Amino acid sequence: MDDVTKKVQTNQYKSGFITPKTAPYIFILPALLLFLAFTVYPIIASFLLSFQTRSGGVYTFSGFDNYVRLFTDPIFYKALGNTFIILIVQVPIMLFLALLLAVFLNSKLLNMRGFYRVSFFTPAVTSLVAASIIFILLLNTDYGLINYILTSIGLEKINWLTNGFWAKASLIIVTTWRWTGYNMVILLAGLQNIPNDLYEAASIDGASPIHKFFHITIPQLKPVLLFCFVLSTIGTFQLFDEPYNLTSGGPNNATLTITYYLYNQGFNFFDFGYASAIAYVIVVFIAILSWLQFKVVKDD
Amino acid sequence: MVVRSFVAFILFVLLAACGGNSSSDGDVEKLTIPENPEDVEGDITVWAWALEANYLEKDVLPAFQEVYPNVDVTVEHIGVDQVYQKVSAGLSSGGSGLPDVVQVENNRIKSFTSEFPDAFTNLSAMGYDEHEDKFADAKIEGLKDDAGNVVAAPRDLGPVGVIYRVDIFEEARIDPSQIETWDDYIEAGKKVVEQTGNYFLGTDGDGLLRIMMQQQGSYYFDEEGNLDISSEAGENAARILQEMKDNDLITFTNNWDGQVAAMKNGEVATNPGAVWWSGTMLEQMPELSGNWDMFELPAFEEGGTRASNDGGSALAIPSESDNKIAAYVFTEFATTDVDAQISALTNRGLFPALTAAYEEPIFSEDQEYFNNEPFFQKFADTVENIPPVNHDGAELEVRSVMGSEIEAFLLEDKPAMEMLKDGEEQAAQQTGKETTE
Repeated sequence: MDDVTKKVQTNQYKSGFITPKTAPYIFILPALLLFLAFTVYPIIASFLLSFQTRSGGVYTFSGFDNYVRLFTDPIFYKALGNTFIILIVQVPIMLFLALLLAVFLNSKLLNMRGFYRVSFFTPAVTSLVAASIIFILLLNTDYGLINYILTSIGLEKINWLTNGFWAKASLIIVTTWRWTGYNMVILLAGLQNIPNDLYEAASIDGASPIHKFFHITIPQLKPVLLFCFVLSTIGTFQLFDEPYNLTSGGPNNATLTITYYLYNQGFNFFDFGYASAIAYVIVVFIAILSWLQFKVVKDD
Repeated sequence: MVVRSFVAFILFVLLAACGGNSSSDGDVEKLTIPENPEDVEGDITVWAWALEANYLEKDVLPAFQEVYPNVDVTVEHIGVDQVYQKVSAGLSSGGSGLPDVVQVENNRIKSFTSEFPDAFTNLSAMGYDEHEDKFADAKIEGLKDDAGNVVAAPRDLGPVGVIYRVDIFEEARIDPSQIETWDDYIEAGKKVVEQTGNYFLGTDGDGLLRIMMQQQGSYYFDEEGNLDISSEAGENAARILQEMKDNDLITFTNNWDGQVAAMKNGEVATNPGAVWWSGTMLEQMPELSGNWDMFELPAFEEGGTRASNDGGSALAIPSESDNKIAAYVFTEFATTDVDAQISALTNRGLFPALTAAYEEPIFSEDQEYFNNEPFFQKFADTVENIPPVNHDGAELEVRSVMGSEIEAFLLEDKPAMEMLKDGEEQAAQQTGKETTE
């Protein structure tokens, strides 16, 4: 009797469209279709677009023209240079601050740790447009709070947003303000995964807190730090909102980032082919940098 | 089996998606506007921004509806960047999702029509030709396609003059009527700077350079669309700009807000700018009422042209509109009805391109805010002298390049002549355009 029902059931499954074998495919189908339509298709289409130029409303294949143009474009190099300066200056400062904060906030001696964690994380979820307006006010040359403080302690006013050097510095300050807390939370999670036994053993051997930090905390955190480095590198390469809202890429392109340049080409000048070429160059740069970072950490 | 058909399906989707865009039915359909306004019917959607959107909705629509009761108009207020992005996205995808009427600035028309030749409906074919004489040449010429057909209906215009502070000029004992050339202007500026310790004018981009070039009948482009930045006109303008900078007359005001602040704080005594500044001034610096007035743009040599234009927009009908007749009558009404133009000026500070409107009393009336002078008449008087210039499709890219160059000139001490040369070179590199020699 049992055997018979089993057989009938399996037959039923086999005859229908939905079988145990096909069911998973059917269940993931909606997600897969969306993924194809909104992720795979744009990736392929923009890759094809990067080999095309448009004239008179018609796209024609033009081989590597866009890429050739890109590598002879002084503004592209300027944007790339700006992006690298921000990357090299901002990411280490930010991760160092984030690590410092994470270690302090992990300490059991500190009261109200939850409050501090939330406070430092808040900028990461704040609307950047609103935040930028506040920073524009703070950094205003004549009426800003920061210049007010500088002049009241006897220093010179700084043209924060109209001087190329200081505009870049402003951008770095705002980016650091926004993302330090985000990295801090990731590092904090990493810290809490370090087994306490290690610290206890070190204490017994008479290690100082500084020794413990450099010989236990940092090595144990290495994969998490690497993760933060890679994320921040990708984030810096995609830096757009901050320069868009704060400086519009100026003065004289001093804060033009590579993603901002892409946006200008695509959405201001309608040169989508060229914008796609820039996008693919960004992809290549991010891939190389991420690979390098993994390599450096592995060799240690 | 299922997996294989699935893969086939994916390939099909991708192929279908890749080969999708290839239709543009030329503008061959014959459209006649019914004699009786009540025969025009249907729904239309209009995209416009800020003042123009308010104008179309609040000033035009009630009057329009009285004449055309069966047309249902929806005016959508959209930000200027969004309008352009949505229009360009719509045109790229073959015209889907576009409105029936859209506001476009003069200097943007060609960036659409050069990329998408059939973007907008040929208004001449629908009868707009009969209105052509009613507009200043400088305006209507810029709204025609290569074949000479009007593709967008002229709305507002930005005639330029020097807006100046009456009180500061009096204090410095300068008679504005004596300022006829840019050299006179610089001499007056030196006096003001000496007396007030402030600047004489501020700039936040390449606007002044463009104004000065257009004044000489020249522009970033020649008639064929070649780059013509380091032309004689460009060099004349650069020479004046350099002199302004050498004498500390000109300050960099960073952006729009910075320029407004500089005018409001008295940091600058003049603004060689377009008439539409009046709207912002009335709104943002009411306390300066009576202290502002205008004199005509200084000429490059005595007896030279003292008129130029900066900005102004038009209304276009995207070719994919389903209800071109209703869209056309609305566009025609909004651009040629004199009463509507006057309410645009009085309610919104939008200066009409329709020259018949200049006969209306508002123009000759004294404006309390502007030193009790007929402020608008002074601008209107310059309109017929504005030289028409070529706003090429690459205008925005070139303006972006020149904007950066101006910043280098003002902030990094780059010589003005070098700014022109570098700008032209970079513009050529960016746009792939030829340079005139």
